[in-house]
Amino acid sequence: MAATVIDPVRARAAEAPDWPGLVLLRDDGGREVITAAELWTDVARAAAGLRRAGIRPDDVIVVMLDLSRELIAVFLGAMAAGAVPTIVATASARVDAQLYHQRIETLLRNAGAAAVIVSAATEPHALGLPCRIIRSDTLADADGGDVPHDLAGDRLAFIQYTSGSGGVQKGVAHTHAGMLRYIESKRVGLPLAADDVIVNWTPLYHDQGLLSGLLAPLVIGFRTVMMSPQRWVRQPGLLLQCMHEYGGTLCYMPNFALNHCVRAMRESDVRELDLRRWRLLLLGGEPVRADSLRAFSERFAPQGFRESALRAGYGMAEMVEGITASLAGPPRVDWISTAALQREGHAVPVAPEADGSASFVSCGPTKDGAEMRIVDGDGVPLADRCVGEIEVRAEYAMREYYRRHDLTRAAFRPDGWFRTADRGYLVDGELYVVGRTSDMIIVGGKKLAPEEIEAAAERVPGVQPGRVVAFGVADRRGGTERVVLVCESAKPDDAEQCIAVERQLRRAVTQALGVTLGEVRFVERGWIVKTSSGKRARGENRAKYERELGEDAAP
Amino acid sequence: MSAPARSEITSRLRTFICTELMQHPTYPLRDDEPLMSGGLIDSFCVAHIGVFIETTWGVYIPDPELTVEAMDTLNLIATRVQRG
Repeated sequence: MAATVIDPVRARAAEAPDWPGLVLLRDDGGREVITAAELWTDVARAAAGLRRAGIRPDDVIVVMLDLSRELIAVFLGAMAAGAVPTIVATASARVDAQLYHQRIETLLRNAGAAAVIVSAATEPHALGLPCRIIRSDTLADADGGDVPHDLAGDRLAFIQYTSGSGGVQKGVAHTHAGMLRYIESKRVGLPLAADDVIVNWTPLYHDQGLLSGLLAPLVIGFRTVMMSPQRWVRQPGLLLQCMHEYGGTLCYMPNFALNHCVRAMRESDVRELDLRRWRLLLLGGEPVRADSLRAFSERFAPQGFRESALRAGYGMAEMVEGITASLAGPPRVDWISTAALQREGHAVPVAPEADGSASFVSCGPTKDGAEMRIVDGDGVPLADRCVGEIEVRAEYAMREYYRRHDLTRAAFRPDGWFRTADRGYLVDGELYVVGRTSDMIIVGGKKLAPEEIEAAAERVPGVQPGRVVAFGVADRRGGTERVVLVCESAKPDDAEQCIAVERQLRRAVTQALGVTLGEVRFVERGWIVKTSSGKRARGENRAKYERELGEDAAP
Repeated sequence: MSAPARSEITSRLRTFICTELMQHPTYPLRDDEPLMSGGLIDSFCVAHIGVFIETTWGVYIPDPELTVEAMDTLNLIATRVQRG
C-alpha cells in the first residue's frame, strides 16, 4: 500500500523497469522516452543531490525549470528526499524581468524557501534572489544513494501557488495522503486504467498539468505524453498528432483550448489522423460553453472523434484539482431564463435557444470522497435551481495555505466547507456554474486579479490612480473571457492621443502580467463607478460597459 | 502564381490582424509595431496567423518558425511570406 506518491514510482522501476511511461516532446523538437527504471534513477540521483546540497526534510524548494527531464526529476526527487517542492512558471520574453523577479521574491518570502533550483537558461532570472540558487545539473552528477522508505503519508507533498483576489499569492499545500486519495477518486470515477494514454500540454505549475499530466499517470501506471504550453499554443495540431501516434485515450483542456483547436488548426496537419481511441476529453479550469463543445465535435468528427468523449468538471487547486466530473458524455446543457436568473436568482428552465435564454453546461456530480452544496449569503443551503455560492468539502482538501493561517481560516467554515467564491446551482446532484462572487478574471484558464492589471496600467504616464478599471467579459469567439480596460481621459475623443496611450497601456500590462488586453476604451472623467468607500465597483462598471460600450450596447 | 507584392501582403495581414485578432478594425497598426510583445495580440494568435498565411498565399510556415520572436511585426511576417 503506497503511503506517498513516490512509492508507486519506485515500485514500478522494480516490477517493470522497461515500461516507457513518460514521453517528453521538447521545445527544440526532440523527443525523449523515459522508462520506469530511468525515471527512478533520475529521481534517486536528484534526491541524493539535494541532500548533499544541504536540503533537509520539510525544506521548501522552488523549482524554476522549463518542461524537461530535469524538472520531473527534481520535483519528484525533492519529495523523495522529504522536502516540499513548488514549481513556478519560468520567465517569459513578454514579461518584464524585474516584475517577474519581484513576484518570485514575494513567493520565496511566503514559502520561507531553502533554495531555488535553476537551469542554465533560467539562472539569470534567479540572480539576486534572497535565497540559495542551485543548478539542476549539479544535482544530477550525484550518485543515487538510498532513498528513504519511511516517509509518512501525512507529511506535505508539495505546494502549488495560485493567484487570489487582490493579487495575493497563496501556497496551496497538499499532503501525500490527500494526493493519493484524490488520484484514487479519479481512477475509480472516470475510470482510468493502465492501458490509458494521456497527451498533456497544460503546465506542471498548474494543478491540472501536475495532477492529470504527471502524478495520476505515475501513480495509476498509464502512459503520459507531455509538451509545453508554449509549444502547443503555436502548434495546436501537435496535440492531435500525438493522440493519433500514441493511441491517446485521454486529454484535459480548459474551454478556450477547444476554440483554439477549431480556429487555429491547419487542415493539412489533421487530415490523416485517426482519433477513434480518444475516450475522454475533460474540460475544466474555466466555464465550459456548449457552443465550444459542439464546434470541436463537429470539426474533428471526420477523424473519428466522438461527442460522447466530452466531459466537464469543476474544481480548484485547493481541492487538488477537481470536485465534480460528468459521468457520461456529452455533458447535459441546461437552458434557462436570463431574466429570472438576474431578478430572482432562479434557474428557470426554458426551451433551448428561446429568446432571453442562456445555456449552462453541467459539470456533473461530485467525485468519490467529495461533497458540495449551494448556500445563500448566510451560509444556509439552498434548494435545486436556486443560485448561490458553491461550497465544497473533500477528503482530499488541501491542508492549508502555506504559512497563511489567516487566509486558511477565512476560506474554510469551521465544519470544513470551503467557500469557493463561485456561484452556481444544482439540478439532481449536478452542478451548473454561472459566475463568481469575486472580481477574478479567467482568461484561457489563467486566473487574473483585476487589481494587478489596474496597477500595471496606472504606471503609464498620464494615467491617474483610481481612474482605470479592469474586468472580464465573455469572449464568444475565444471561448473564454477577455480583459476590458476602461480608462478615464480628459480628451476621450482625441483619437491620436488615445491610441498613443493605448499602446503604452497594452505594453505595460503585457510586460507586468503576460496577459493581452482584449479591449481598451477611453471615457470622460467621472465615468467609472465607485463604491461609497471610493473603491472601483467592478461589477457595476462591467454592467455599464455592456450597456453603453459593449457589442450589444444600445446605439 | 506570381509572387504577391509586399504592400499587398502587409495590407491583408494588417486587416486580418486588426479585424479578426484584435477585433479593432480602425487600429492604426504600424509595419514595425510589436504585435505580441507590445500586447496587441496574444501568443495564441501566432497559430492563427499561420493558418491565414497558408489559406491566403499557400505558404506553409513550419512550426519551429511560428514563434513570437519570428512573427512579432508585420514586416517580419511579410518577409517570411515573400520567401515562400
